[in-house]
Amino acid sequence: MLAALVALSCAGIVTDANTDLLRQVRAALWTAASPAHLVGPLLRTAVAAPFELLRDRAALRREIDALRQELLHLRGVLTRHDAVLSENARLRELSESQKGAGEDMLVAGLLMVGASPRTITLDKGRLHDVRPGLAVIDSAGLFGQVVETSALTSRVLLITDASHSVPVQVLRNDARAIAVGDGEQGLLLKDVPTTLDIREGDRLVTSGLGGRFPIGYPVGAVETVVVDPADLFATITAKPAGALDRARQMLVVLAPQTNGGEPAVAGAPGGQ
Amino acid sequence: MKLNAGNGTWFIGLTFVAALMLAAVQAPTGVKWLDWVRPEWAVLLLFYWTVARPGRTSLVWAWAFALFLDVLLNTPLGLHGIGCVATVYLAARFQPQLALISLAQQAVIVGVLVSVVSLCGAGIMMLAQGQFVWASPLAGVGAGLAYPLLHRGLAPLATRWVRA
Repeated sequence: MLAALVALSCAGIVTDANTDLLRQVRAALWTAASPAHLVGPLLRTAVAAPFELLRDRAALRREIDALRQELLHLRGVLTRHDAVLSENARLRELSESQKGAGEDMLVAGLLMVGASPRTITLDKGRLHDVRPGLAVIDSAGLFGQVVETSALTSRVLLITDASHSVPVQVLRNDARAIAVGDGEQGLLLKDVPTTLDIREGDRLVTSGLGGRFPIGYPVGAVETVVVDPADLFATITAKPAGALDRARQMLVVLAPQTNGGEPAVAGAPGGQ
Repeated sequence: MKLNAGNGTWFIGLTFVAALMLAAVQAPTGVKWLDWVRPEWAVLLLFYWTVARPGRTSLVWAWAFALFLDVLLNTPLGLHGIGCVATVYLAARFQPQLALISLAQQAVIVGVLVSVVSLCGAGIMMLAQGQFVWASPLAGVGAGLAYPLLHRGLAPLATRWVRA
């Protein structure tokens, strides 16, 4: 029996790490087990509750005032944003380019962080219309994409994972590249010719090519550009725009995708 | 494990549900080091119940339970199964001896067992995914320290609720 179960485990590991055959099984098991994820946030709330009660009333008042001011400011920005959106839509119609304005967003909370592969678990799942392939952002930029869902939870592969790649363009001059995760905290721009005009500090946004990610979301900023005369390609690193290691709330972009629902992950292990 | 409501099976099941919850809880941002010494509660519980109530755990049951750990912790299906099945097998095989030794000696054995299980798990992940996987060398220490607490906490409850 021991040998049979170990052999079954080995078969499961190899199948699950290299193929998608067990995706349905994983989803069903995860749906059954996902309530366990909710204990973490509950514990956090329970631990934080006494400290919240002890917080200074004046400090809370100051925080409310600051938030009100920020809300007012953001509403002001939004009124302009609406005008820009409608203008953008008109221009898109004129140029018959890719549709994508006005994406539907869903707010999701962080449940868990995984180190290998670099993933986060969110508290929204299939019941909330989250499905593999959807982009996830925070207020500052792109986080990653959904790779696995249960009924109540979903797992997001971060853009910094080594198996994740996203098509980007430089905001300054529209130069295009592919940003691949370095497996830690940063991004690498792959196969960029030394002749391409990319400088330190350049801001990178999603290019929308490939139809996976909506166009125009901030991805990061170029940190270093190393040009080796002996090499055809430059070595470029970038820092993600999103607060990948800090944010607790993020947005799932529910915009309809142009090509199916399978995640665009290079050499992805099954369901990882 | 016999599904008989009268013999305390529900209580054993409840402890494993708690183990799943503890596995899914992460240390707050300020004290990330707690994750390094996080005890493998599932292995600890399987060891405890197999030694304290022989015959109430089984290899198949341990393997099936481990599948839930795999999906919660995003590891390939079967990875935790190897460690859990090995734990139940060894604890059952040496149960008469393990039941006689002191709690401190049991804790040392559990610590070594968890260290070996977590290192083997990392090795298998590396083979399966082809990339480096980090395993905490302190996982065994955490397990060794947590086992006496778990034993002291569960023993009176087990005496009350779970028939031998």
